[in-house]
Amino acid sequence: MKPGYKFLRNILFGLLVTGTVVFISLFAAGYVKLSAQNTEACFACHEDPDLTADRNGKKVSMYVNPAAYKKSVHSMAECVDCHTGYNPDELPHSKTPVKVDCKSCHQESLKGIEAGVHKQVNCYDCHTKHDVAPGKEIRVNQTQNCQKCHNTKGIQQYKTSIHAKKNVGCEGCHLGGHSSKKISKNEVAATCGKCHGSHEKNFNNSVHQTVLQSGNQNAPTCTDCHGSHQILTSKMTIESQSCLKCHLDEKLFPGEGRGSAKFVADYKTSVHASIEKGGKEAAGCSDCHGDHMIQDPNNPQASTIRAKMLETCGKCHQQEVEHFKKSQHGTELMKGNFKAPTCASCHGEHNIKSVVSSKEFTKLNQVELCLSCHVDQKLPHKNYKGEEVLISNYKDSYHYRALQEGKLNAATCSDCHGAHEMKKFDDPEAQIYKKNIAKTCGQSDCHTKQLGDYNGSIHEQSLLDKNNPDAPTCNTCHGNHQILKKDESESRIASSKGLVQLCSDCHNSVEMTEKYDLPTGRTESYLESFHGLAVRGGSKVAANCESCHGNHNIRPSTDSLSTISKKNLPETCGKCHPGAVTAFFNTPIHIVKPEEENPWMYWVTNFYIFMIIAVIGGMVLHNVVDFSKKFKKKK
Amino acid sequence: MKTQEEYVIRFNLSERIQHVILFVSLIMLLITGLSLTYYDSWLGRMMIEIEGGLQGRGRLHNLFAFILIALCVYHAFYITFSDKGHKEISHLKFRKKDFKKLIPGLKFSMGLNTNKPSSGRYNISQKFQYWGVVLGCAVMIVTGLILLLKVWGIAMIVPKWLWDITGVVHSNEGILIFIVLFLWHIYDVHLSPKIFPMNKVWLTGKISKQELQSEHPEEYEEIYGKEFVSDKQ
Repeated sequence: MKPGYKFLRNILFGLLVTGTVVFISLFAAGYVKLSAQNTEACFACHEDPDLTADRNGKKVSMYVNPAAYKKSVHSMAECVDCHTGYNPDELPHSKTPVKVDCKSCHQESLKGIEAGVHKQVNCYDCHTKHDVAPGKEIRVNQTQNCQKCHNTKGIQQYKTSIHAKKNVGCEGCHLGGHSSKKISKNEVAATCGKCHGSHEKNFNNSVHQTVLQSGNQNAPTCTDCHGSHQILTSKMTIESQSCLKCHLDEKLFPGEGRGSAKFVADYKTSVHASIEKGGKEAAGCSDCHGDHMIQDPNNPQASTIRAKMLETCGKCHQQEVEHFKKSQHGTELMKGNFKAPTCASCHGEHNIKSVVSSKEFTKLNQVELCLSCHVDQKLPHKNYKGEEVLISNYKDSYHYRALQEGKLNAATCSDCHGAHEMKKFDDPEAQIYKKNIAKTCGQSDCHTKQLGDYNGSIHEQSLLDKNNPDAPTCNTCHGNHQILKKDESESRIASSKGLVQLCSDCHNSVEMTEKYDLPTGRTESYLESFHGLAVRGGSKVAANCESCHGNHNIRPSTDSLSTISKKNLPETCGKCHPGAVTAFFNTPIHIVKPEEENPWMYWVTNFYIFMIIAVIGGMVLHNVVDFSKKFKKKK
Repeated sequence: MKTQEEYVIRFNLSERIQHVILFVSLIMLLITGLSLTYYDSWLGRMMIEIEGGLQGRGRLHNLFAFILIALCVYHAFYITFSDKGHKEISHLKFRKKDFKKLIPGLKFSMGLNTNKPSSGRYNISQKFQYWGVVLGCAVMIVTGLILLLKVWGIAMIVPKWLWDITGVVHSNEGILIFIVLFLWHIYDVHLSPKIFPMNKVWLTGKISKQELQSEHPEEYEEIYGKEFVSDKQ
């Protein structure tokens, strides 16, 4: 190596070291000098609140609050650390404004935000410019911060929401901070579920979620019903509108069948919708269909399927459902009889009407409703004897005809059978149980007078007190469904002949008279009497059973209230035979054993029988003898 | 037969008319009455149908009952106040000799006795028939009136046991009258071999001298004297 080259290398090294030292010294000296000088220098002008600058023809405030700046986390930084590229000596400091780039220092923390929704947002939009607050502080007022930008009407309503009251801010759902995000429809449930876990779980089992996850974005999630920002109380106040928003849309739910928009539209005419309770519908969609875990109506878990309907309706209509459960309809339903009706079978589904004020439940329409199942043959009906009986012949009854004539107090099906409490005739609680029939027919506004008469009658007493199942009550004589007026010719009790036959059904039956020790020979003795003779001949005025014994108030002659008690006989007979006196009645009316009851009559009858036989015999003998003798003589 | 047979007037016109009225009303009463008694039989039902139903039957029965009552009243006056009637009733009275002839008469009828007991204007059989009708009508009228008035309410003073008897009597007496009239009287005046087809005396009122002599010898004697004895035996 040449000695000159070594020297040069030493010189160069010396220069480099010296240069470095000088550069560092200069840089250090210059930095201290610049910062001290610049921040103060900057505030010399920028602490003036009136300082403005012209930006694209607009006056922009150039004021920086020094106090706020000094409090901020950036107080140790110089203005020029952020505002690079400015020449403080020139005015304006720069020909083109230079954006503050926070990344130069905050590279790490900005990684998150660059992937998020706020990547286009300037840091200072949230953190502010000179009084930059740390994340901790921002988080405290995050919601207000968000609303500075997110100030659409919808989001502004957040202020009145339940979340605002409960201090659940934007970050509660949208995470906040640099990881703030949009919530897609599919994520909504999970988001809400962070707090409302049980509801999310229910919702996840609902038909809405199933449809949503199948890719149909029309299916609702939490926010579709509850709203997104303006969520009010936990109970939906707008539920019908919420549900109907979609379910009335014929494009979404076409057709006419179940589930269609038209089918749902009936709800609006229902009593549930038309009556308000506390400012809302008496019963909204969710009251019947459930809320979060709403199911397809065919799903066995749906609250509106037959098996669950009682429970569902019973939430409000407790008493009715309790009655119904005990009814024949209810027991059949619970046994699983698919023919048995449930609430909707009679009341309808969406178009449920008031039974009091709607046409659907007028007494006449009720007949059609019941007969739609109980028509002959379709649903055989058996009476207590096990005979199939007609029900549709109710339409021939006076009850039905009176209804048609507008007499609305006439009985329809439910008046006798009960509506929800309808039970079979053999159920002791049934309104049509034999022992209850009189009470049913005699209920207030109906046949009260007749019930009053019947009470205490021998028929009533033997039925109720002696538990005699054959004793007659109202329907024994008047019939069941086809009840006619007394003066209608087809009625069994219209004619005396029919009435006598009716009473004779029991009182002339060997079986009955033996079983219950009834007095015998009533019918025969009556039919042989003058009254009976006249009635058999078609007389309409001659006395029949009822004329003397009464009808509803039949009592034994030993009862002082009886029409045939000795005391009352003059009055009873006097109806036809004015002036009848007690002395008249010293022998029984029905002569069954004349030798005891009227011996005179007995002997007179026998005398005549003897006489008739004797005369016939004598005359025949005489004539034969006389004839043969004269005949011979004539020859 | 002799064309100019001698005859005697036995019944005058009044009596013949009374008889016609009597038998017409009795027949009608029997038809209408028995059809009710035997209402249960087909014949009874048919008869009531013909009589205009039960009500028509009743009206018809009542009508002829009043005719009969009127006749009875007239007859009562007739036998009391008219000479002919008064005479007739004295002939119809039962006398001791009538009963004495009762047994021989029966014997004769049975062929045990060849001598027919003589009789007056009315033989015992006819007397029985007359008084039978009188008694029968009396019973029927009394009981019938009770039954009729019962419906009208006036007879409520009659006790029920009597009513019951009344009913029994009225219907049985009716049957009895029917039997007596048809077996006895109709036989006597229509069916009896000598008389068949009919004894015309109820129409003409005349009885031939010969018949008067054979049937009512005592009356014959009274009219023609005893000198003419015509007994062929």
